Amino acid sequence: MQAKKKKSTILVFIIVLLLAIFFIIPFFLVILNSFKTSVAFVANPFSMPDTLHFENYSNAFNTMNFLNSFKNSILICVIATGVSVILSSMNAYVLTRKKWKITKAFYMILVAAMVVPFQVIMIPLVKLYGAGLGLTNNIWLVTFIHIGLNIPSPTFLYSGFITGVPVELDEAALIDGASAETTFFKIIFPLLKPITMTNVVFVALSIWNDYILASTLLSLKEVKTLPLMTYAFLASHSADYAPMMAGLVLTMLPVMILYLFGQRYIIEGIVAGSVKG
Amino acid sequence: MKRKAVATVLCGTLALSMAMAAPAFVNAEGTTTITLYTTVPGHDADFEAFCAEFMEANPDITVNYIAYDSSEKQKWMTLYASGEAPTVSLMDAIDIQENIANMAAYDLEGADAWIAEQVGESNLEIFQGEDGALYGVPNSVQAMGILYNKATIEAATGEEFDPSTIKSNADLEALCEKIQAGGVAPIMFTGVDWSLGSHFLSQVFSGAQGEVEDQIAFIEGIKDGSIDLKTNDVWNGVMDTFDIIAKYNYNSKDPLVGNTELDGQAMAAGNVAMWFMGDWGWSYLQDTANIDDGYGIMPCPLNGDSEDPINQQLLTFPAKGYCIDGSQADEAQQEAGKKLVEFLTIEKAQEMSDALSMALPFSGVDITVESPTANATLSYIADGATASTYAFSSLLPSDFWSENGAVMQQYLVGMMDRDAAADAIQAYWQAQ
Amino acid sequence: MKKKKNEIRLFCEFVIPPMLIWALIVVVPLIYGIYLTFTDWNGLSPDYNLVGFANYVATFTDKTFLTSLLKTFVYVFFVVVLSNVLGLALALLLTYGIKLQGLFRTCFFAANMIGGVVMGYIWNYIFSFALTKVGEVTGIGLFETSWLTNPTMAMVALIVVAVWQLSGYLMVIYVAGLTNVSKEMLEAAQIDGTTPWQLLRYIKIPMIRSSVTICVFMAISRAFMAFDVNLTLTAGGPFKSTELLALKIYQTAFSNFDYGKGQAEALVLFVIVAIISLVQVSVSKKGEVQA
Repeated sequence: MQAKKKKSTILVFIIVLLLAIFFIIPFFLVILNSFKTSVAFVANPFSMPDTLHFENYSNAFNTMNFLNSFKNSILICVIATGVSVILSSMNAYVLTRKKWKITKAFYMILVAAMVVPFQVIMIPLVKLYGAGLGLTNNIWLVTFIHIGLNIPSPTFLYSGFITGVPVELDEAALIDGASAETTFFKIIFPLLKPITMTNVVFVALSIWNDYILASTLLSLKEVKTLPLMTYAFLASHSADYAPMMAGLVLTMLPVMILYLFGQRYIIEGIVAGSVKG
Repeated sequence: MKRKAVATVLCGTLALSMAMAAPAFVNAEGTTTITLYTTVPGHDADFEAFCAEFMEANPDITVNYIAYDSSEKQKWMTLYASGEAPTVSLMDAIDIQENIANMAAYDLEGADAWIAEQVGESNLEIFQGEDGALYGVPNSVQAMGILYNKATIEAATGEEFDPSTIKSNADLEALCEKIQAGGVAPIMFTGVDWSLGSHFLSQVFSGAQGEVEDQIAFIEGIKDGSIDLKTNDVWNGVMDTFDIIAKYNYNSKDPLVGNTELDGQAMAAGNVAMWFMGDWGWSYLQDTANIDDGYGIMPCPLNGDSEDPINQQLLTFPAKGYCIDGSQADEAQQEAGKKLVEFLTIEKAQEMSDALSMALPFSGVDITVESPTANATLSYIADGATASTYAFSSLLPSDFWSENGAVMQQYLVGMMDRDAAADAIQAYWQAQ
Repeated sequence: MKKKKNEIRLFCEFVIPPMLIWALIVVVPLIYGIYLTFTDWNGLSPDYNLVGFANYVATFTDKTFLTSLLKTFVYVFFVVVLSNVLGLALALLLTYGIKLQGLFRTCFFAANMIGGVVMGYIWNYIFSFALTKVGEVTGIGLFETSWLTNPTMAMVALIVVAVWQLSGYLMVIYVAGLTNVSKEMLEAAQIDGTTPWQLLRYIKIPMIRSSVTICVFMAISRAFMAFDVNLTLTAGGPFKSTELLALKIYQTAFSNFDYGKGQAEALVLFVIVAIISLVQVSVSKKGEVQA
């Protein structure tokens, strides 16, 4: 019995290993070829670089105006993620705990709104807020829109989780004389930590990787985000593959570093968070 | 505590966005701020440099450059929708026509009289509105046709090559045959929709039909059904040429890969002798090609009649035009924009030609064009051996290339026969 | 009385701000967007006319829209089924108790770290250059020509990339569900001599019904909205054979200067996805109750 289990464990390990290779090989190829010349890449994408062509990186770094676009991306991402996650948690708390008609209705509308294609609201958004308020090329408008777009799904995930938090906790705190607000922030919110992690990761990723919203509202180089500069760089180097690969690596790098540091926490957070979702 | 923090962040964000509501670039007293939007891929750095020079020469004007965006029309629309319409845009003629309600006309009688002096009528008509006013200034003149590498052809055939001997598609086929016998791939298509659908197919509707009125009449006939494309002689002649190129196609193993860069490298390396493309193809070649090989462009023969002059006339056209916004830009900005246009076209003529490797349509500038293929275009123009491309520039709708490019691609890979392709194209027109 | 006042205050503090921001960003533009579907606006012109339902009529009589819709259904079907099967399979393998489990989970989730535009480019290189190289060296016919130039294979490529990304995402949710299945129950079942298949079919899957509901919902909405990868991987080609609905809408609205119609198509897409997800969620919720 024990031997049989061991054998199958090895088998499972090999299957998983092969699948994992399939899953990460694209990243491997991009990194490998970012150190080669374009000619060498076209000739054989699997060959090893003759020497490490770091000039691809300096080329991409400069053309993409990396530091500036990185700064824009970080600003938008951090502020929008923070605000939208906190607002969603508060929203979900009341929508889940209070069984009023209006809270039920709001919840249903939010869930339905999760499938609105962005294209439907893109031009109207631009017309209303860009032209109407004169807020184009303004990263704060982009931040604000990201907050609005990222209310429904965190609320949805939070409310699933809050359902699993015993109501007795709230009641005990209320009896002790705490206000509902204090109860939420002192007692409930800390309990939501796993799902908060999940939401932070999902929201931050979607904002960090956003292309279409930023592209509709930001057109001057000074305010462009990293994905915009990446795309502009890729589009203007249509056959200069090696620097393009370097550009791709540079775009992925910040997320990758964050991910490698926090992987345990992130995955475990999602695992814990989505249990009840 | 936390709630306060939330409130602070929130108010902070709102306040900041209000504070930033003022344009990011505040005008200093007395300066005019304008924007330039271009749709030429891969030349942002060049245009930015030109703008910097322009600002140096005109300290009272600030130019904000809006980079090329691969979704060029969406970008244009969002710029308009957001109240940030570019003062000057470099667009295809048909796009300018679509947006003519927002455009400001050039004043050919007054400040913009230089345009009429510099640019010939044939290069301006596609930028004219129904009111006869001019809404665009061409930035370059280009030609579509067959690019050739003289050295490759001569090495393969062992004979001297003179493009003027190709007077019909039968001549082209004979040449392909000889080149192939010499062990080199004769010719190629780049299987992308814009090359097949916009350029190759447009030959059916342009100069082969005659002058502007004939082209308009032909398209009307296709739309109302009085002309059946299937049995049309011009269509069948052009498609015969298509079949010849497809037969000897260097890319026949996987015709739709459609990578202009790889094709350019193949031609520069001498692996293929001719290429249905345009004189801009030099930009794909120049990094690796030996200029002494003798590169040039010749007309793509459109039928089997060696007496028909169309087979020896190059299809040249002004590629894109500078247009001025009249809906959101004020007088001062329009003036500054026109100044920028004159600067980019005339004052920077040499630099622009070098940057884009293209010939220019301006008669009053003395420049040296580097690209051998653009020079070939210029010599056809000088000899008057060109045909009208009015339909290509002005009559084919904005989505013509993508819709019918798909048809031509299917024809190329044999998923559609010639009659089915003709029916699909005619149906496209009838739906317009 | 005081309680009621407090509750109103709580509602105003906790619900109104997020709902207001959301309404400003989504609802108001949506209503304006619906209004625009009744116009012939070309996206640029300063004026336009009201045309009633003309754009909707045009949408439903447009053969290319209907083919695109059909293709989208095929695509969504395969993506939803395959990504869920693979995601669940990965989750089962990664809860088996092998070494380096955490590292493997990281590998499988990694694809979700990058945006669709970038991902489309990466896979474009792989299909255009790496796989054709494999074909050239090994002589395997399947890889000799680029997948992206063949209509069927280009669609397969789109599905492969979507599954590649989505299954890692769904895996995480399934892992969460599986770790929640009570150990006692599994051990009891093993002592009773159940086969691994029976274990899966009669114990594990029923126990993770709610994970299945979420995963299928996510897969459906993501697959219907597929745009970025579609644009950068195949751009709808070859010859529009892989033009999924979201991309088609984009082309209608922007490349063809037919904004009103593009907007109407987008609204049709919204209604379709909303109905399908609603049906899916309510059907599988019922299943959960029974289990």
